[in-house]
Amino acid sequence: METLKFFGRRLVHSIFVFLAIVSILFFVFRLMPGDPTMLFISPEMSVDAIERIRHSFGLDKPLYVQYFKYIANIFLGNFGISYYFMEPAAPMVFEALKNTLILTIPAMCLSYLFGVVGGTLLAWWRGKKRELWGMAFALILRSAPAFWIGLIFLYVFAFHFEWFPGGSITDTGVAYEGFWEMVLSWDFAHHLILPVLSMTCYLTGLPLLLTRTSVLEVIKEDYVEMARAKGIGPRRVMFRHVTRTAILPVVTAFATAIAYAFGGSVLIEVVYTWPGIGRLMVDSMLGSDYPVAQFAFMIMACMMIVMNLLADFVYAYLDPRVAVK
Amino acid sequence: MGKEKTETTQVSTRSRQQRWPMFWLVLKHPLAKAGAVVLILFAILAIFAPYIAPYDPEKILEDEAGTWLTYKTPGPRFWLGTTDMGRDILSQVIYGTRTAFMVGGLAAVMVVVIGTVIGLMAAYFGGWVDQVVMRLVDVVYGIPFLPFAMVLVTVLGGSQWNVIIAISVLLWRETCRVVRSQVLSLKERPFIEVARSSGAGHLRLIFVHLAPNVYPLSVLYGVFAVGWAIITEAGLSFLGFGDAKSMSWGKMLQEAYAAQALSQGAWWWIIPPGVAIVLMVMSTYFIAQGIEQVVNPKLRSR
Repeated sequence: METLKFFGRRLVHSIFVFLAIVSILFFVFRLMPGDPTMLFISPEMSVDAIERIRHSFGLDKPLYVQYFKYIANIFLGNFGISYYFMEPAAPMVFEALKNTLILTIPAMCLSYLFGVVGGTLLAWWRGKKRELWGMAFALILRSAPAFWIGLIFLYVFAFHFEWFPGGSITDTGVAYEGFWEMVLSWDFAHHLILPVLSMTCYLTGLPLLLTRTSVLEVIKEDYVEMARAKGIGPRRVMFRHVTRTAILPVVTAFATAIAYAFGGSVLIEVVYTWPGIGRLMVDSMLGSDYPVAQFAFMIMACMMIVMNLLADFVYAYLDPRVAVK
Repeated sequence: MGKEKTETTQVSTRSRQQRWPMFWLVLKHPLAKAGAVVLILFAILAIFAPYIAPYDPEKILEDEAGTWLTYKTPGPRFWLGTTDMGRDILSQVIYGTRTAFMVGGLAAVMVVVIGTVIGLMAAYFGGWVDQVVMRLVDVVYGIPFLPFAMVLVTVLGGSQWNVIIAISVLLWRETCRVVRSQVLSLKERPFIEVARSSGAGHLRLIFVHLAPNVYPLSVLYGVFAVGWAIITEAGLSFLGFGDAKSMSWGKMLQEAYAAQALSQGAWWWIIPPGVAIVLMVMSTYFIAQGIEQVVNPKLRSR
């Protein structure tokens, strides 16, 4: 019962957060420099024609009317028309989102794998010289900006050795029947490897350092001492007994990691000219195509809110004390 | 006589350590020591940039015949080579240090001040104040960091100050959350009760009694913020949302990328700015390691 109430409360909070972010977005985008109509209004156009266009986008109404219409439209599934392509923004954004997910999910999985194993090792090496070097390496990895790692990989593996293509999602001129046919092709995998690797490098720092801290705290617990006293080998104690408990905060930091991943994916997508949601947003921002940028932003925020909510649920499930508080 | 002398030296060292207790504890950590050295070297570069840099970073360099010295590989004359426009890369990196310090330092100060004050208020007053602050923190946690910084810089205009503001507006959330939970447990402690019963007002309780106990934590998150701010500024500049007028490492990388330095094989244009970012951010994380040991004694080696 307590748990259910907790879930309900978190759900209501999340809806509130969503509405707040959507409202902030609306007003911030209204403050964007330049009138959004100037993109396709040529100077020769008559005042009448300009008014008609402004009217078709609903820009002639007072701000609060526009705001409520905008909120209502979100619930009706109308997310605005691209100023540039004159088509609905939503399908473009969802198409890009698919490409982003297929880049971020493998990178997240790899980074968590490396992070948890590496973090456990670092904690294990506590007090040794090796730990210091390992820590230094982990921190250096975390200090490197995602796009710079991308640039270096691109230079070394794509331009110098010419092992991989220099960007984009597939070879130009190759057409695929559907999304899955493309994803399963060798051509696509060839394009995917470098961006995924760059992103993994960037994302590994967070789970690595978190695991280390968490393991260092768990390692002092009595039950670990007990396991050792029972004569269980050190490797088994470490990976079976300690990491299992220590992994809790790392798993719940997954939401933070997603937030982190979106920041990084924007940059990686731009470096590798990957047609993902981050690059779509950058291009539409630079091209003043605000409806698209706004919707892309909204989808990214949605993902983060959902992940935060999920993290709360997982945490409450794993550690029921949280819900009762 | 001799006895007195030893006593005074003891007192003086103790008082020095008491005045800056955290400072000395932090520097005991080997990584923190290394970080401090690197940071001091960068600070020297930033302060004396005009004297150290061999050329004007914006100047197009020409040889005697008047042709531009473009894409010169690193050598005795240009230690790190030149760009597609014949500009000296070493000088650009040196001037970029100033931007990094300004963005990292100011953003960190803003993050620490905003996060600590709001966190203190929320935990101290509790009730609806806490509710409002926590919902605000929830909202800020739902906003994607880099995309929002892009949007804000576009609205406010791409100046250095606006980049700093855009970074700080979101980054305070972490400091606030940590400070709040720390204060929540602190305010139950007897010394607060004593201070309150002896007539201390709200402001005195918050800023004289509670704040000094959370400041090491705030400093830790401030140091993290330095690294985040430098990386974010570089990212924004790389995407074309930075300050076009000042020289920054991110802007160098953006220019190199736009000029197709990669396919030209101009590795000397790509590597130095990135290495500078890594070294500077790394030095702050190294220092943070030392602070973390002081703040969280559980992490100290056995």
